[in-house]
Amino acid sequence: MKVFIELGGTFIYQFGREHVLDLHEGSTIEDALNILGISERIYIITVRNGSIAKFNDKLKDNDKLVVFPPIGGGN
Amino acid sequence: MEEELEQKYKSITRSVAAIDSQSKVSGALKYITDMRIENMLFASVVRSTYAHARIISIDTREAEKISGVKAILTYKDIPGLNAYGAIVPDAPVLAYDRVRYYGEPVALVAADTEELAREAASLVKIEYDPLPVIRSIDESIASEAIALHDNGNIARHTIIKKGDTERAKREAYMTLDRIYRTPFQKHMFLEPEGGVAYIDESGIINVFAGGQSPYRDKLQIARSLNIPPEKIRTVNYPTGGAFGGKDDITVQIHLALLAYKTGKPVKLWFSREESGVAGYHRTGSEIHLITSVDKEGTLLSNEAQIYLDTGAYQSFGPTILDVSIETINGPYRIPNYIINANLVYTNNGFSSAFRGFGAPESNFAIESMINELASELHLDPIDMRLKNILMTGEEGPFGNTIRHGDGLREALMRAKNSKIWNSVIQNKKPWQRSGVGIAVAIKGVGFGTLPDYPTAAIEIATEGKVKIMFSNVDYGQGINTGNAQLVAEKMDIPLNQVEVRHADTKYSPDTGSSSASRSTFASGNALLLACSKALDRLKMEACFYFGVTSEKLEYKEGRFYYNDRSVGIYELAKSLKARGETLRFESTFEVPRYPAPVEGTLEVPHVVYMYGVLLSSAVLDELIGNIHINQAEFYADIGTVINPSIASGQIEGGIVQGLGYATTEDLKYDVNGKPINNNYTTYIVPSVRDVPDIYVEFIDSLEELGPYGAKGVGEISIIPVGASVAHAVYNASGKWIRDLPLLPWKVI
Repeated sequence: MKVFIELGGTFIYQFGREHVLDLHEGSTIEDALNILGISERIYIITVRNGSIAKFNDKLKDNDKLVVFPPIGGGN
Repeated sequence: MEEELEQKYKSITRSVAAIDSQSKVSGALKYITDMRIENMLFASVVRSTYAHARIISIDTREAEKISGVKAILTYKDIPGLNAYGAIVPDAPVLAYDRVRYYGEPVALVAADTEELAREAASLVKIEYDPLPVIRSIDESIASEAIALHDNGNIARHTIIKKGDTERAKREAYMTLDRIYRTPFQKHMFLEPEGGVAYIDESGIINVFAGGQSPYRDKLQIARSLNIPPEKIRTVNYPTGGAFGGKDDITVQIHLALLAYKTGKPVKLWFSREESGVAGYHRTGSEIHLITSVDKEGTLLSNEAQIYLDTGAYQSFGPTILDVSIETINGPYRIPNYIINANLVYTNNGFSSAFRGFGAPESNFAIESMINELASELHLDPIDMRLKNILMTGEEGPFGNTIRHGDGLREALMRAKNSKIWNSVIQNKKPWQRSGVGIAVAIKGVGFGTLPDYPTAAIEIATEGKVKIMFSNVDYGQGINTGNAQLVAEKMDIPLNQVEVRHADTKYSPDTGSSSASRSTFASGNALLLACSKALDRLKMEACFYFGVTSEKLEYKEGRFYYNDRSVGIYELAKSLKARGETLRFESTFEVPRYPAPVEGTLEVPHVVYMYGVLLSSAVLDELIGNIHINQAEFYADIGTVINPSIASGQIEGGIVQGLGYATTEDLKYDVNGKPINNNYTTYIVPSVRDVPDIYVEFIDSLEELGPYGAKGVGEISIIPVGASVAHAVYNASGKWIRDLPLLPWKVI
């Protein structure tokens, strides 16, 4: 299955911005992060198809995953 | 228009009193720093007495001998990452090998009483090897400067270009070359940084602290304690002022660490002086502009070299720099530009977020430049701006499309026709000179191209209330009231049926931080989605109740009607509850953004911008150089105004805070990097006698992406104050002052 991943914030500089991963059925967000080489598991937010998701949530074909560190700006 | 809106809406566009105003005025509301828990310990922070030094040793033995001392912690006691920082974690939780600003935390003490904690803290012996102190941007970027961090002294550098500035300069009628400087500014919130932490029966570490971003704080605490975020609860209400100074970590990690290590409740709060030394401040700036125009005043090019002084660590510095980049061209059509932007480390304390977030710095430069160009060209500065502002549908400087430039045009037209712009001021005394100044402000709402998914929830409580939950903190700006009005409007119920649960990670979903003038836009939109979800579910239940299909129902004032029968939402909620269904409805709003940041930036550009025009009228005393701003007029395009009274209050507050920035506030460090003015006696903020007559006018405006057309309001009015007042002073004195604040010795 294909999963579209967008990284945000400072992750862009380390891992690039857009990725398309070809994953096995049953793969989780954790699996996707491992493939991308993202080891951060605390200071990180994962959003699957517009909703906050957990690392062990399973991905589906054509899912859009957005991964970014907590953000801020413009106070 | 106001009347029309009053007919259109029932709860919004109305100046209802802030829902917590009575409890605040009566003193019934207890702030977090008023909290006391039985058997709690008191904490004190051992701080660096050098602005830059190596730590040779830390000796806690004498301090440990004090009876009543329960814990003395150093960097060795941090289980996880010994670093924090919202964007880049480069600030140690407790310094280990080196200190980089005066007042940097080195050790923590918890004791039975506040006095014992302080005494023990004073007995912690730290041996230092002093290093050269870097006191300015120039010293920091000098080739021989000692490196403050492994990556050198430039924390971030980027260049963004468009067009050909060299060619534009060659073809220009006039090019001005100017350097503008702005100072550090302290937040000076009435409630200094502080909080309380304790571990509850289920092992959760509860951190109650003045803050702006409960979920991000929680993750930063978890990272340093090396425990799962689920084991931490952060509560940020009520907070007595923040202005950006509580957006990043202040006491939260220290509190959680002490509670974690001692197993006891712990309280830590800063005195005014400690806040003055250890709290954050606004970035200082030095901005070099070379700007070209043709004979008619059309802007041709802008070359900007931006240096922001982030102090010892970055905190929000990288994104503050982005906002400076985004606002350095103002709201203007400038076909050619080159922006060379730099975030620089020094030993000048610790810069972080502050209302405006890099925009006041850039605005002072570009708006002063526009005023200087208009003056040189003998053009009316408003006419020159009208000629150059980007209009609706035009392409902005960063490839973005301007959504509502017409609001700014209208604001400028109203300023042009205003009384103070067109009046001749009669000076009361022979030594007085008067002048009126103008500046325009632009500021993005939210985090630009950064992903932003605010989530909020509502709960239909069967006792006749709609409870609303979001993580934006009401630190005085009124978000709780504004959101309650939005929900009352959407649910078509009286405002007193809406109950706000304060920002608390135990109950509130993650709506993100209270910053970037985003709270109304972010949580407002998420709450409206949650309301729609709730109404959809309740409507289905009403169909079941009446035995009809949904199109036959009408919803009004909290009730579904079918012919002459009706049923209320709370009654329907009871039947849902009886079946074990949830009455909580949660929704996430995906904040619209451009797909990718402009190359070289993290978050530029924004989709939605606020605009404002500030006229200020200054009276200059030529004998002593004192400046008094006696009138200010602000024309704001902030979209639909949810609560005009609160929004006006925000604008007035921003102007007054900006007047301090422009005229008196000047945080200084001595030769050793120690802050000189760290309290209200020496750091001069405006008092009530300095507050001018302020007139606020809202432009009729509607931002389709915002909740009922709202944008944001928190920051816009502070941004143009420096340039507007400097222009007024020029018109009074004939002297351009290019470094804030406008202190008497600079004016005469």
